[in-house]
Formats: sequence, structure tokens, C-alpha cells
Amino acid sequence: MDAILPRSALELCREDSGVAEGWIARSRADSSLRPLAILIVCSAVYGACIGAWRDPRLAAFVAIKLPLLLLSTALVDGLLRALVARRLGFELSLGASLRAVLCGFALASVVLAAFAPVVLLFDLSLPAPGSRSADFAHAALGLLHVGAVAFAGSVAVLRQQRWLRGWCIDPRAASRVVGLWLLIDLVVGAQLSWILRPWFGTPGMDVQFLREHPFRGTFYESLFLMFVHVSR
Amino acid sequence: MAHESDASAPQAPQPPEPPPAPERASSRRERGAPPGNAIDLLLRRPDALLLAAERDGLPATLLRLSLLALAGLLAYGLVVGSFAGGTQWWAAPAKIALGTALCGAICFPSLYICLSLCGAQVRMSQVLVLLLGTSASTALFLGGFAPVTWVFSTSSTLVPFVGALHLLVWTISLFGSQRIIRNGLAEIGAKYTGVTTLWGVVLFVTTLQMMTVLRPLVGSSPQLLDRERKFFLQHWSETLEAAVEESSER
Repeated sequence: MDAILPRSALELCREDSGVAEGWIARSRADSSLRPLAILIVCSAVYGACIGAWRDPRLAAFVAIKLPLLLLSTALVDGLLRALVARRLGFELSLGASLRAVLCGFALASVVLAAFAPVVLLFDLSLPAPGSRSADFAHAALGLLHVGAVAFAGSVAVLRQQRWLRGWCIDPRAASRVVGLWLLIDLVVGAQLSWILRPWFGTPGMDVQFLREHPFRGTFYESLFLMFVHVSR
Repeated sequence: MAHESDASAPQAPQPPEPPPAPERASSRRERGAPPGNAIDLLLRRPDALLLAAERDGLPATLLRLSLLALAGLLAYGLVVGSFAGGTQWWAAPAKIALGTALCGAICFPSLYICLSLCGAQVRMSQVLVLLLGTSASTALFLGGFAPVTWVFSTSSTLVPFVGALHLLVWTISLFGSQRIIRNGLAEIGAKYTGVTTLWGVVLFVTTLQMMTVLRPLVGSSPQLLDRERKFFLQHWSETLEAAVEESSER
């Protein structure tokens, strides 16, 4: 598996390789394990770059937490995603829909890992967490990560749409199902990422694996409170 | 029979001729052998770069492109260093050559993935040729701009003005060289090229941050490298503010 993992990761990026379609269609163990291994390795690499600016310990923590976030999002949404696909006329089993999502997350992770050296340059050259411009650097890095994740996510969604075209009579339904899957992942993923804070490591706050009360509050409550705070 | 043609019948209007098919890789290959001169190859036949690498061998092509890139970057570095003089005569060319090489190494994985996403069956060696080709082409343009930039930089004493001039030249040279990758992609049968434009922006931003890390490049400083960590926009605004303060004190 180790020797073929990089090759599988690169083939996943190629449109005509048929690798992802094969993994989605076959219910063998390696059809799930390979995208899973790519997802874990590549998202851990990018995760380390997210935390590297704040502290090496946070880099190690986020290298564990980012694969955990993607996997938990895939698992929590799995059943709902399979139901949506069946409702829209797809002949996708629960396992096949889970493998389709794993392949999408794996592709996004490969793209993110490819940009990791660029992110690392900014981690190491922007003002340090203890400096007077730390807040600026924190915000700039946040924007950089948002851009990278948005790009990788868009690539994965567009590619997932093509992978699923063969599973339904109406090829246009692939856009609908992928759109709904994306919506479900965004809603649930935002809350799971809230639970798994800290990610970037806000300057002045302690470096820790999880906040003291990770299940206190929700992402959406905090968004609402921020909105109220700004509108006053 | 109803469907038999009748010579006396008025001719049905002919459908317009279809537009010529887009030029395919095979027709480009038929256009002739790629020029042996690396400068001609980059400027006139960027589409034949990969073909030239196949013909001349990978090591020879990489060596030629690297030497060309190094020559152009060192020449432009001399012009950059001439503004402050002193240690910058050698430090600026060395930093520009080193910084460009580092940026190439940092952006290589993302280029490889972006080219794969474009639908191309691309090999690692081809990506290396395209990346070095882009660097060599950028260096070639920089070398061409060097005398013009030198005229301006010897006439000015303002660091922000000369810095902005170098930035303009760098932007033109880098984005003008992106066609090396676009043409290379067409040669290897890529379906989409939009992603490479985005990669070009990533490379550009990376070079700006790298040059900020390796500062001072234009101005002078008692230290060879300024250890303070800064974002390039922050560095530019501080340089501009310092220049405005200095001019108001005069």
C-alpha cells in the first residue's frame, strides 16, 4: 500500500484515470482503504501547516484533527447522503455513497497538500504570534486557508459530479445530488470544526488539543451572537 | 425516386463551411523541428519546448534552461543591486537567483497537481521542463528589461519608486511567461487551462513573499538579511511611509 499510495493519489487527480469511479463501484476493502489512506496522509500534511504558525505542538495537534474532521463529517453525514442520493434516483448504496465522499475528500486533501509548501512559507515569514502584528498575520493566514480550502473543495465537488454521472439515468441529477451533499457537509462540518477548535491558534490563547468545553455552544450560535454584536 | 438528385432542380443552399478545427498537437509537430537555440525556443516556439526536451534529452534541456535562467536573473540582480551599491552588488543577484529557485521548488508540487487536474497525462519530468522554461523565460524578459530599469534606477533616489518599478517589470515578465505552461499543456492534450492561471497567481504571490523574506533587495541595510517576519504588503506600506516621512523632513 505504501508504494502505491502516492501513485493512487496522483491518479485520483487525473480526470480520465477512472480510479475514483472504480473505488466507488467496487465494495472491496481496498476501495475504501486507499482513499482513506490518501485522505489521512494528505490532510495531515496540510493540517500541520495550519497549526505551524502558532506553535509546533499545535501543528502536531491539527495534523491529527484535520483528518479527524473530514472523516467524522463523512461518517456523520453518510446516512443522510445515501438517502438523498436514492431520493434523487441514484443507484448508490450506503457504502458507494460513502466511498464517493471519501474520494472527494481525498482529492481535496491531495490538492491542499500540494499547496502546503506555499502555506508553510507564509507560516514561517509572517509576523510571529508574540509580535505586535500577530493579529494581522492571524487574519491573513486565515484568509489564505479559506482560499486554499475553497479551491480544493471546488475541485473536489466538480470532479465528484463527473464521477457520479454514470449512476443515474439523468446526468443533470449529479449536480443536484452533489450540491445537496455539499450543503449537508458544510452545515455539519462547520459545527464539527467548532467542536474541534483551536485550528489556527488565536494569539494570546493557550495551545491545546481541544478547548476546555468543546461541546459548549455551536458554530451557528456564535455566528448569530457576532451578528448581534456587529449590528448594535 | 424521391431522394435521387435532379440536375435541373435549383441547388439547395450549401451549409457554411465549418470553422477550421483548433490546431492539434500533431499539426504543431508538423510545423517543423524546434529551434536548437534556447532563446528562440522560448520566445518563438514555446509550444515546442517539450518536443525539444524529448529530442535533446532531459538533462541537456534542464541544463540549458537553468543556465539561461541563472544568467538572466543575475543580470537583473546586478541592476537591482546597483541602486544601493556596496554589498548589494553581489547580494541582490545572489538573493534573486536563490529566491526564484526556492519559489520554483515550493510551487512545484502544486503545479504538478494543477496540471493533472487539467486533464493532462503529465510526467514529473515534463512539469520540471515547463517550470524551468517559465523561469528561464521570466529571466529572459528581466534581462531584456535590465538596461531600461537601470536608466530609471540610476536617476532616482526613492526606494519606493525603484521598488515599484522592479515590481512592475517582475509582474510583466512572470505573467508574460505563463504561456510556456499554457502551450505545454496544449501539447500534452490538456482539456482545461484555467487552473494554471490560478497557479500563476500563487507563484506570483509566493515570489513577492520570498523577496520580502530575503530583503533588503533594493535599499541598503547593515545586515545581509532582515530577520523580522513581515507580510509583503506590510513591508511595502512601511517602506512607503518611511519615504514620505523622510521627504517631509527635508
